[in-house]
Amino acid sequence: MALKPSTGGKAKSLFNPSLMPRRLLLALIVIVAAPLVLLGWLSASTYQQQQQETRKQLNRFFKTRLAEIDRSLADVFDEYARDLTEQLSENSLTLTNLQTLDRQHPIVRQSIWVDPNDMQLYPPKPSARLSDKFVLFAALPGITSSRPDFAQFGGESTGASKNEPALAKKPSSSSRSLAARPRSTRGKSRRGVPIRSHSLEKAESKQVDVAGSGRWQVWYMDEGLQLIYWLPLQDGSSLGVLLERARWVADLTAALPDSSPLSLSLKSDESMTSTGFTAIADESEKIVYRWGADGECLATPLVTHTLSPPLNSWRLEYHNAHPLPESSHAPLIASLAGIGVVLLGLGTYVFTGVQRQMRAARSRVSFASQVSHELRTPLTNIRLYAELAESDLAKLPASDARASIEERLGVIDTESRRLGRLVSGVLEMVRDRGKQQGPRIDSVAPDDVIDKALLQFAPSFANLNLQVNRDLHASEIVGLDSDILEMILVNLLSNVGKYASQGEQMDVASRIDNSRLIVRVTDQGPGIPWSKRKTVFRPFARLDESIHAPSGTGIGLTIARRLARRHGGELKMISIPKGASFELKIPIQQPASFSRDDNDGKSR
Amino acid sequence: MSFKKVALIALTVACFLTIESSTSYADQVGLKVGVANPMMLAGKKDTNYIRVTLSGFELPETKDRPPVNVAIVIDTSGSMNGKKIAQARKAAVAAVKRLRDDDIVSVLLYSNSVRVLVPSTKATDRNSIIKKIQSVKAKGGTALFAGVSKGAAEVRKFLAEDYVNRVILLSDGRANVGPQTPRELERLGMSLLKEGISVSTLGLGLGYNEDLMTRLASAASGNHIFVEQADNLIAVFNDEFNDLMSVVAGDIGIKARVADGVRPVRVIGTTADISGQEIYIPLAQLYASQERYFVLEVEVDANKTGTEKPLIHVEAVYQNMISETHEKLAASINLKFSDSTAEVEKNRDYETYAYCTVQLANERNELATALRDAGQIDEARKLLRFNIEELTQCASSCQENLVTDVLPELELNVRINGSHSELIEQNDWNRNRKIMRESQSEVKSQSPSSRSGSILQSILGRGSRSLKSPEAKSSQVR
Repeated sequence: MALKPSTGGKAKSLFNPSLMPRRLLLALIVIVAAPLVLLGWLSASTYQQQQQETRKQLNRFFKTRLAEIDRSLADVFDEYARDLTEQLSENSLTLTNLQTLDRQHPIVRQSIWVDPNDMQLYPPKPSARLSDKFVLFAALPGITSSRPDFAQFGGESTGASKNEPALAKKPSSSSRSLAARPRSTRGKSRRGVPIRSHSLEKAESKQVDVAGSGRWQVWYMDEGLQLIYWLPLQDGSSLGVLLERARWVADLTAALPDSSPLSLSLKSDESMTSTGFTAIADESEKIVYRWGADGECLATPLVTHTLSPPLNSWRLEYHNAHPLPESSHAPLIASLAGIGVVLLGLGTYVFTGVQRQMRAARSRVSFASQVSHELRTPLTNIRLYAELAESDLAKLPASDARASIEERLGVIDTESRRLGRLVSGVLEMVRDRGKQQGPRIDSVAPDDVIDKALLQFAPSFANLNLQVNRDLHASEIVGLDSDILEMILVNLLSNVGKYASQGEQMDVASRIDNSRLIVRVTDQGPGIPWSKRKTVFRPFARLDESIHAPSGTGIGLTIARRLARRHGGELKMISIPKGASFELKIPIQQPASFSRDDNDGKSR
Repeated sequence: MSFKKVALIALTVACFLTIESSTSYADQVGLKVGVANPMMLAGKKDTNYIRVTLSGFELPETKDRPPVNVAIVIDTSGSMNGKKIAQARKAAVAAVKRLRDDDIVSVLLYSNSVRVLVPSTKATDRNSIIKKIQSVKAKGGTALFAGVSKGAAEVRKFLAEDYVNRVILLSDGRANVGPQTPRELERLGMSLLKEGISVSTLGLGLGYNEDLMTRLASAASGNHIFVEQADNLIAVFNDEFNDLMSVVAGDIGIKARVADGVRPVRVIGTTADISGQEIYIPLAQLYASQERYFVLEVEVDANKTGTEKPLIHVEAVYQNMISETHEKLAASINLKFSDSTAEVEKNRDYETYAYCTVQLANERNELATALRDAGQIDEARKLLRFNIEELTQCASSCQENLVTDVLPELELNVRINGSHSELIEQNDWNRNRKIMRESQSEVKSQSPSSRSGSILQSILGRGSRSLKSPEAKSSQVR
């Protein structure tokens, strides 16, 4: 019969009890994690930006500080220049005086006097066995030949930039050499030495007559960079003073701050210097002196500053492995953790709520499916006994009483069928969609199935004065699930009976088109608004929720469509001017492989 | 130190004393010039040795010693941690306690960097200085160069001629921050000497670079002392301050001019400034009763027999720390020439000869250290044995000629060379090398603390500790 005992099986919930919570859990994790990650990323990037900004500011701060230190170091060399100019111009220029200068001036390692023709007037050649002095003497011609070229400028105003190209012309020496002008000419201007043109007559005496401001020459020898201070004299000769490297390094060191806590806190904010240190590095990038904290030396210093000439191959470095305070991470992490906890709490609350509701829904569904199963057995018995009673009644002689009993038995039969359909519908509703069975293909003529369904409704339609117009063209034997087709039709027809009875007419059409069965059920009732064409297929959706509406569960169309889809087809509402029209399209198979007899037995 | 000052010195009315032998008034430095062979073989170009001696006078009891301006520069690198720094603190405290109110002191600490613990100040509030010293802790690297630089800068703040200006450097490790070659430190020392600042170096333990420390000290006219045990540090500081407080003359410049036909070769054990016929030797100070001498090697051209001609004229200028005046000394000596070897021998100045032998032996001793460095133990031993022979021979000829004053000095040097010949054999070369360097420096600089015997005794004590019987050894050598 229409009821299939196998379809429900053990009632499975619409919701998979294991699958759904996992998805929910995933959703919960995403809900918690996504904002956290987003927040974390945002704050991290702003933090980084801030760090960069602060670092830039720090760099600027340290750059200016290093520049200040550089100025104080430049003063050391200016002082040398001033002092040497003074020393040299104070006394008459004799070899003895130069020698005394060499012996007594702490910064002087060797003074050099060269005449305009590059002839070395001083120092004299030392005795051969004094190796140190002898080596130095041997190096002097190289130094003097690439000394700053004063002649080029004569008495004109001095320009340091012109000096370099002049020197670049003399790459003959293997050593690198360059000259730089001292940045200050204090010594000269203070002493008021007149700047005379070089074309003036030669100075008559040996009195030192400084003809211009001195220049620095840089020379590489011995430990590395050496400095020579050159003074042009009026007679065209030049006086040079090779400074004692160890001494000026010591003087630079002495001019730089020490690491006393007091002097550091005076220099700048203590938090800045508490972890870093400043260093002065020589031309080979070796640290000569450092002050500040006891930090490790970094491969690349945070800030560097090249010293001003003449020591422009030296540089000041600021090293700090941790220039910024580390503490600012903690509040960020704490706030993120706080937000995480709040989100997690909210999520868990929602999750448990949903879970509880789902559990309740599941138990309701399982209750419904169990009740439906329980209903089937008595329903089958009722129908069985009603049929038995009918067949018993047929043996009795015809009378009024028999006719009346037959009629009542007919009602019992019809109503129990209706109840059977309801139960099947409920079971179809609560069936686990994931474990749906495929259609059971019989070899039937679709028109026969349609007729059978119409026959079921014939009594009620007759009562409603509803005339059925049949337009059936699918009489050939095809392969389809007759149970599914019948249940769909029954649902559609019962809807017509309930809602469109005043239409007085209805049409049922069928045809086979392109290996698909197309059945159309059209009534002439009030119809369904086009906008609701999708809503009506939703479960428990009813167009009229009022109390006067005809009784119904609201799942008829849902079941019908679900069945159609289970068969691989589709049920749609189509637009007509008056009333409602539903079109069912389901694929059919060639009946070749089926023999009607085989399937007859099974389907019953 | 300017031209101005030189002019000033020239103008100063000083005693011009051109005397053959020593002239030593009370409260005045004595200058003596001697030549090993006053009579030389004629007709032959030969080498001769000249000894220029400055002798300090006794500190007068009626007058205060000259005030000192001292920077105590203490190594506070990590290696000093523990007993060493504790002893260094005690030693520095003991030293500060000895100061007078008009002395100037500064205390500097160096590790990775330099910290001026006590900036240059009059030592009136010694207790607060001591309190500061007692808080010193050790940590970090060894910025030795910067320590000396800053120490000298502190001394320079109150640099004055009537003060004894000195940097006392204590180190137990190799310089590893900043310039660190012996040469650079030596050159710095030479530059400081020009200003009248001397540098004494105390090497503590076995980790320091003895070449650097000795060369710095000798370039800057200071003492170098090897302090093997931290326990001795207080005594060593005491000795150093004894020296410091017994300075009678400062800012000494010795200018010697050899006559024509004589070529100055070198000053043994000292980097002197020789140009042409002139030799210039700066010296930071002369201690009370100290005999400080320099040995010049000269080459004398061939001369005819019977001639007598001038050899050298020496002038010395100095600051008398007691009378606080600039003074000038001069001395000169002549050479005679003869055909007779016997006459040459007979005329020999054995005292000068002995001291020249000592310095020459000391130079060979230094060479022995270098040979041992190169692993040539045999050659080094040979050299030291040769030293012993030379010195012993010199001693015996001095005895024959009744010059007995020099015998203790010669004997001491025989013993030094004897103990050194043991030292080079032993495995602990790092330690022994420091002992050798220290005694070489002592012989070279002739500081009174070593003359007084405490240091040299301790050297010999250390050196001969390994000898079975030092007495037997030295007598056997003799």
